[in-house]
Amino acid sequence: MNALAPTIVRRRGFAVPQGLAGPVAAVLAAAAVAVVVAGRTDAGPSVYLMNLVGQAAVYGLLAVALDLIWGYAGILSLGHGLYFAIGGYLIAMHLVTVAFHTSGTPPDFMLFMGWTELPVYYAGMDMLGYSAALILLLPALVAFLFGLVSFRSRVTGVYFAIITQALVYVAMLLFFRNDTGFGGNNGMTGFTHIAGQPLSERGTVAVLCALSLLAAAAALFGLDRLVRSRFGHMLVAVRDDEARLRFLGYDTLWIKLAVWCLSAVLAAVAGALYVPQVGIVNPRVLSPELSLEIAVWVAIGGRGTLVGAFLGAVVITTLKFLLTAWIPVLWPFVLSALVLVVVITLPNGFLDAGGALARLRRRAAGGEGRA
Amino acid sequence: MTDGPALYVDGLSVRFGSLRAIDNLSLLVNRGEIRAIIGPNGAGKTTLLDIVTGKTRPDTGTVLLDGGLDLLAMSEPQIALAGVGRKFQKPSVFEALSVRDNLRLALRAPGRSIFAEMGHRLGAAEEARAEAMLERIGMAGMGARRAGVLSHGEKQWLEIGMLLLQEPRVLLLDEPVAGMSDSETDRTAELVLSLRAPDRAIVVIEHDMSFVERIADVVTVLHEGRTLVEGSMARVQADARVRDVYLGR
Amino acid sequence: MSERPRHRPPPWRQLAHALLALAALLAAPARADESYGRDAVVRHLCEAKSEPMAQAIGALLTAVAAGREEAAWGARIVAALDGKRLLCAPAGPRLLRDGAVLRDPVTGREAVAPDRLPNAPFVNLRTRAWVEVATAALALFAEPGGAAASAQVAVLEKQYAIVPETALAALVERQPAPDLRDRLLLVRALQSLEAPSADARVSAIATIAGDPTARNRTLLAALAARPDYAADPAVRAALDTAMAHIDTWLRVGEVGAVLFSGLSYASILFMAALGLAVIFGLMGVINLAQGELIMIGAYATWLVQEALRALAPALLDWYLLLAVPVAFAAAAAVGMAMEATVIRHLYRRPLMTLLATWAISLFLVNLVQVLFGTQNLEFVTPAFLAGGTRVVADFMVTWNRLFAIAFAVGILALALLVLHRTPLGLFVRAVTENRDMAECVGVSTRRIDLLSFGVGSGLAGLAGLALTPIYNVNPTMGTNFIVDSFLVVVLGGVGNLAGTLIAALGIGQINIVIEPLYGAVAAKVIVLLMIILFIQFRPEGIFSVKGRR
Repeated sequence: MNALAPTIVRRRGFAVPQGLAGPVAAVLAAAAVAVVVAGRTDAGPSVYLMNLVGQAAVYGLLAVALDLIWGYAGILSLGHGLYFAIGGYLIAMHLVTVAFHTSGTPPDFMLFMGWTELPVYYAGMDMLGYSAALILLLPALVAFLFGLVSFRSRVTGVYFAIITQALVYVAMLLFFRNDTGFGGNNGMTGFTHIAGQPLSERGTVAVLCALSLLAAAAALFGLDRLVRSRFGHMLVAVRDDEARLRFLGYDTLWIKLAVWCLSAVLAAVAGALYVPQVGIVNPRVLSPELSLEIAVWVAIGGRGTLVGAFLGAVVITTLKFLLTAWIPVLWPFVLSALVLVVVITLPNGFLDAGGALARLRRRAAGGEGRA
Repeated sequence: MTDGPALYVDGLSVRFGSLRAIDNLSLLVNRGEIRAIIGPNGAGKTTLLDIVTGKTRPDTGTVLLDGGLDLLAMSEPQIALAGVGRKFQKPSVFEALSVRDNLRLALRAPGRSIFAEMGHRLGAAEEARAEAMLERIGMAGMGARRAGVLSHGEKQWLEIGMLLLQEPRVLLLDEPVAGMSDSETDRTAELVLSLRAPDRAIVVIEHDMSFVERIADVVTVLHEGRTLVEGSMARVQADARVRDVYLGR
Repeated sequence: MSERPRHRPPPWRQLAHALLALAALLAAPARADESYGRDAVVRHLCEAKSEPMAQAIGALLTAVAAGREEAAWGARIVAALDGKRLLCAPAGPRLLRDGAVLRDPVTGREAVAPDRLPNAPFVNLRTRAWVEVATAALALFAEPGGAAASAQVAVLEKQYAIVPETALAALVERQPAPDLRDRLLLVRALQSLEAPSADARVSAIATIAGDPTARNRTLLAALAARPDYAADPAVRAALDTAMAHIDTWLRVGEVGAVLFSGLSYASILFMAALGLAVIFGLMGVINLAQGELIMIGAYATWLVQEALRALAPALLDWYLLLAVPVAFAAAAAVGMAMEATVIRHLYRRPLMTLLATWAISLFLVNLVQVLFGTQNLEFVTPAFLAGGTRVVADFMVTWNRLFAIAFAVGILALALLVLHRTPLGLFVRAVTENRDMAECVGVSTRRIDLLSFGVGSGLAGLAGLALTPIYNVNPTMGTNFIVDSFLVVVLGGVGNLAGTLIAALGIGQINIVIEPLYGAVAAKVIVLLMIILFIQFRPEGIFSVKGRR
């Protein structure tokens, strides 16, 4: 075999529980309704908690977006933070423009650069509809161009992964610059209102949290149907044996491009939901570490199961949140240990722990050895 | 379009570095014929299939389908849609999908664009074709089984079944019985013979001489990228040069 | 001292005359041989003002040049003045403090301490120049070929305007080293620029153009802006030619400097990427912890330095060479441990190795942070790596960068040797070509993988060693190199040295060439875009071998 084309990730067991996506999506949707109701009263979860839940849901959405391309189509991106950042920066541009127009106080980066007006590409960003359209279109365009040049020249597997990583790294360097109009190192903050609602208010926080939960629910539900459709079978076919699919008459370039762009848009939506909830965006969302962490969530939760990826993100980010508050120095060690254990002993993630145990028992009983 | 031979190869050459993989090769396969291509390792057999199916671009030469369609100007999917089906040396099926879903994927209608195909839902007629093929390759009742757990022979048959659903006019089989048991080889020979059709050419690359003898109308012996001998199996077996090549002189 | 103008000078020449008169005044003691005396020198130095000090030092240097005074005495007095050990009462006595003892500065005999010690004169910025010139010139007189001679000549170059002419002439004559002699001649030329005769000026300008530095360029440009120089067509033409000449060489020097700096960066990249490329070719695995192996090599080097400092300070200067086996072994050991415990299990899942090796890199970075802290490590620059040599114009070849380049060349030679002349190399090439086939003919691919991973990791460790004299060393340093190393692998293709080498050279150079033009970030953006464009045409790298897949 030639090491140049290590694209095919064959998976032995496929005993991962299926059919969980619907129920989990329903639970998330119900939670969204509950949060909105709670937001209208002073009872129920605190603003802080709702904020955390909203962020976790966004991370889950991001993981699902990556799982779609990696778990199903076998295309690993180590630079999905790029699309997350595009969504985040676009919504931040909108929020900054709104804050500037309503309060008259220019954002920090304008003061820093000595600008009196927003750069020209902020034109129209005060309109939420236009910004939302950009959040859907721009990541699709970027993903399309990058995907086109990469997939057309048959860049796959490890090659593709490290090029996506290089891309997100270069984007980070670019956004660290102050003269780009995106706030440089400090990023953008000082948001006040979204859709006319003050961001500091309990009701707004609740709605943002609910929207994040709903987005995650919709993605789980919709993508679950997608991967079980004919298109979903094409994705799995691309992963298992792309050459075979091409010789069956499928131009796989377009299949890969379609799923790649869809994944990018979902990641951007996650970014756009994330930034208003944390109140800031800066180039650290473009760090290669974040992009790698997304892949880690998916790997730990379970590649090729949407629910696994979602839960992986929620559990790992919660664990990180608790542990970094408790013993910050310990977290990187815990994370690296977790990754190594999962990667080596649970190839299909935690959701497949049962399957892994079963295989182990079979092997112990003298059954099938290594494939 | 239906004039001329099913597959017309002329003056074909390709080099990999300093190696001449195919050296000014010409070949003609007629409709209704089963052609076997044999030759020692490195004779250029698989490279020839790679060129015909668009995987490798030759340095010079012509490859025409049905005497008119220039395959060298087309991409792999286009060639497949034009009616060239190929079975790989290693059984290539989509292991994570069920046997039935493998066959369903093979129902790629040449008239539909790739985008239409992405959004297509199979109709009852198409589902029926997939079921009929299950029957034909002898795997009725195994439709829900994951292709990854099939035996080696079953995978080969599934792959042939997928090719048949494409209704190819030129069917290229790369070592279809390699690694098969005797009874599986017998069954495969029957299957290949049953594929013979008046408007279809079948090209088989194989090492198993008894298998070749059973199925082939004409045998072409390749050596160092060139045609050494062409003719009936008996003629080829009687040729001294062929014995030299195979026994390494 | 110079010929008089033959005709009545135009008004601008009067300024030159005034300057000339001043120069004559400064040089006056030089002529008044009989008037020289240590007492007067000490008295003038004690005033600590420009004019008397100029007179005193001029006289002192002239006397030393003529052999009428010992350089040692002058050096002692000037050093005392500089070190605030020359104590002067306005009307005497003047004393020289020599440790606890007071001496008469003229005779050197011990003197009786007065009731109240007089103050030391204050050497201000302007007079400091004189002190520097005197110190340097006296040292050169005492020992023309001394170890610090080059630095002393540099002082005279910097302060060329006030070096007394007779002393300079004597210094030129006595200088044994040709390069230093040339530099002293250049100082003379700089002085002759002020000469009133056009011929003298033209020849001085030509001499200066022979040493094309940015400083000389600025000097000539300043002259060209002066009316007295611009007016004379011959001088003007000489100036233009000289400036054009210097500009050309400055540009050559700049190009040389950029290429050299790019070459040194490329050398580091090559060492970092070589291991990566070999391992990728062999196993299809990209080791995201390669940057951390570089870091481990650098830390191992630092540990060797600290161990030597504690145990064998005499060998401290050689720590870089002594650390070579240590850095290699440390990184190789970590790499082999990685291979044996983690990567071995993931051969058929190359994408998972990306995550696994990332987890290892995360672990290593944080482990080193806990053990050593996050700050940059301090490295001693060995004497043999300090400084450099000027090649042309302002292009310096610094020894530390040259070390990195030489090191990389050594590694390249070693890698070629191992790959093409040893059994291990043969097996590595065989497994890279066709793993299954190699296994069939009895190559123990497991062992080859382990060994290659060790060697590839060791190479990264050596890259870490080679970059310690140039770049910062801290726990997160690996990230600075890893992305560029990836790009080298992508561009260079798999498992061949030539591709890796050319890609490293290309990416290293492009980075350094674009950086000054558009900034470091733009350099990275452009490199990445170029690579993405490049793989459109050669998806398998520069030197991929076309073949059956």
